[in-house]
Amino acid sequence: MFDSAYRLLKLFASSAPIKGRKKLQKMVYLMSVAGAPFQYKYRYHHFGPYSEQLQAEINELVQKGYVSEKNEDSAYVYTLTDKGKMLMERLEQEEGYSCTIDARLTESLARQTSTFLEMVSTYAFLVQSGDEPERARQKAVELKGHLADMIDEAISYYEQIRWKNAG
Amino acid sequence: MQTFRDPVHNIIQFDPDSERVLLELIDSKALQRLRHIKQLGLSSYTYPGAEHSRFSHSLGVCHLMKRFIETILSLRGDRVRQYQEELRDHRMLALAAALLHDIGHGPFSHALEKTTGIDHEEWSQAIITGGTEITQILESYRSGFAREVADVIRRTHTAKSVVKLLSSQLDTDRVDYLLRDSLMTGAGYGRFDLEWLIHVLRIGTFRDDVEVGLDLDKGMSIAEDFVMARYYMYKHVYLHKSTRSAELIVGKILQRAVELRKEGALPVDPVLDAVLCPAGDSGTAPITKERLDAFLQLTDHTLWHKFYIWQNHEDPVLSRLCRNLIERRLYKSIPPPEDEFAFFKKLQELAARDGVPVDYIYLKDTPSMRSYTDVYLSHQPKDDESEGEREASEQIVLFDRNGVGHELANKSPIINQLRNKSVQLERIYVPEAYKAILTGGLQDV
Repeated sequence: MFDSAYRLLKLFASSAPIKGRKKLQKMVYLMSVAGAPFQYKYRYHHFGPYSEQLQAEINELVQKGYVSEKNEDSAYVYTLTDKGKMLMERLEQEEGYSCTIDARLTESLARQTSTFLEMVSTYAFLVQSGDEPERARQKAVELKGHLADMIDEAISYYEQIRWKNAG
Repeated sequence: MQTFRDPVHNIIQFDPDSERVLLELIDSKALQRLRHIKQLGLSSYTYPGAEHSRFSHSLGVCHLMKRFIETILSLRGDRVRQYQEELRDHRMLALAAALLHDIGHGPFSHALEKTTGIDHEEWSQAIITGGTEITQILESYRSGFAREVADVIRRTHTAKSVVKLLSSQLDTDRVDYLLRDSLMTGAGYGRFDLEWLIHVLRIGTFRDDVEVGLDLDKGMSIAEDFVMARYYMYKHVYLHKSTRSAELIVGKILQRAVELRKEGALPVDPVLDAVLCPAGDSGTAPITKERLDAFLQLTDHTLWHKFYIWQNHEDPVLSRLCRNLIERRLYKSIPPPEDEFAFFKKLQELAARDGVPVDYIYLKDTPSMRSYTDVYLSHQPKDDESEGEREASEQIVLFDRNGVGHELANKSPIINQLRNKSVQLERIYVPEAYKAILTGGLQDV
């Protein structure tokens, strides 16, 4: 009953407050690519892969008071609340829930800018949905012309993440 | 001309010379398969007329795409010229993508997606580019055409006007399904004035992106009508509590069937095995050629045939679920519990008492678990967010005389009210026998 919500609570527990909806979306997407057990459907939107289901789940957690959503400097910041922490701990202690979130990856993703993550996740989405690397690179640059100078770094970052999954 | 009669658009025609590729696609096995997949899945449990197929919807979207493009090409002014050139260059691409946009849907699509972990868009990509009959038809039209069609459906083609006509807040897919589903269910509040909507159709740039929109002066009422139709259709048809209960039961049947198959307690079925539980499946098995071939043989009838057989299976969970579905003895909705954790404990006690896995005595239906939502209505707009942090802002655009776009909710008080209210239907369903125990006699929600 709580599987999917539990994984998100675990993410918020293992991370500093996450600033920006774009960053949160891209972080969860790239963590899935790296093998984290999130199971949201993603579709390509103006800013890259985006999951309506993830946004809906965050809305639900906010409504129920498990996660707080505050606007700071025109961006939404997400933090685990005490109520959320309590639910997470009860699920672990009484129901045996567990889930490993790679804290180093979370930290690394949180350090990146949301525009960089937009480019990485766009490239990742193209490769994950069947494009050969060279075509994905070309297409990412076409779709994200204003971020074209980030492409090499974005590919290299994606390869590191993917390696984690393969390893 | 090849002519089809259609309940929504009446006459739909294709030119056998200039549109030969479309007719070949229509005649392909993969598209003909959609005749045997209902557009609305189990909505006929609530609205008995809802027996229409994804095939008729696909033809309807292709037809609407022609009409939308025709209107945009007839607009005057420098501002629309670049989009007109793009649409003129990519007309056949737009039509082929419209015809094939639902090609990856299987029977009870959303339940199947959850069981296999593969969504219909991934199947679509595989069917279009994976060396199938569809790939061959598209490639014989033009080399590289299959990949381009797949890109439009994946929303990553660089001809953004084509992408937006097929997939946006005001797209041909949504316009056709609302009208078709409204007509076939008999739910009249889903109707709106299609002719006027097409008459006032516009295209332009809004927040750095191409948007298909409506004329601000002439299109306000039809824009409001269109959103209200969506609101009513989602509330009363797509998310109807009985329909959702039936859909979620199908999901549980498939979940149980996979468990039993893996234990060797269900007989071998090459087609179902390939799709539902391929060898070595860890939940993320790739789409192999064998799996794709099997998927293309699945229709609603295949699964209904199985449900009728499984209703007599020795596993009481599987047989009971199948009988629940066949006899329309659906799980009943109860109000979402205030203390979810305590509620879950209660469910566990009941499950232990009756010797049933707890997973099969409740169905949870929240927006995050649904494959279809209307994000324009279900996600409150976050207008206080900076452009740089904005994510997938859903918008319906009205263009003024100067080509400047305005979001509908900022111009229409009715829609503003509706958007800020936000539709969030959350339900829990349990077998009728448990309802009183779990609610202390509370009524349906």
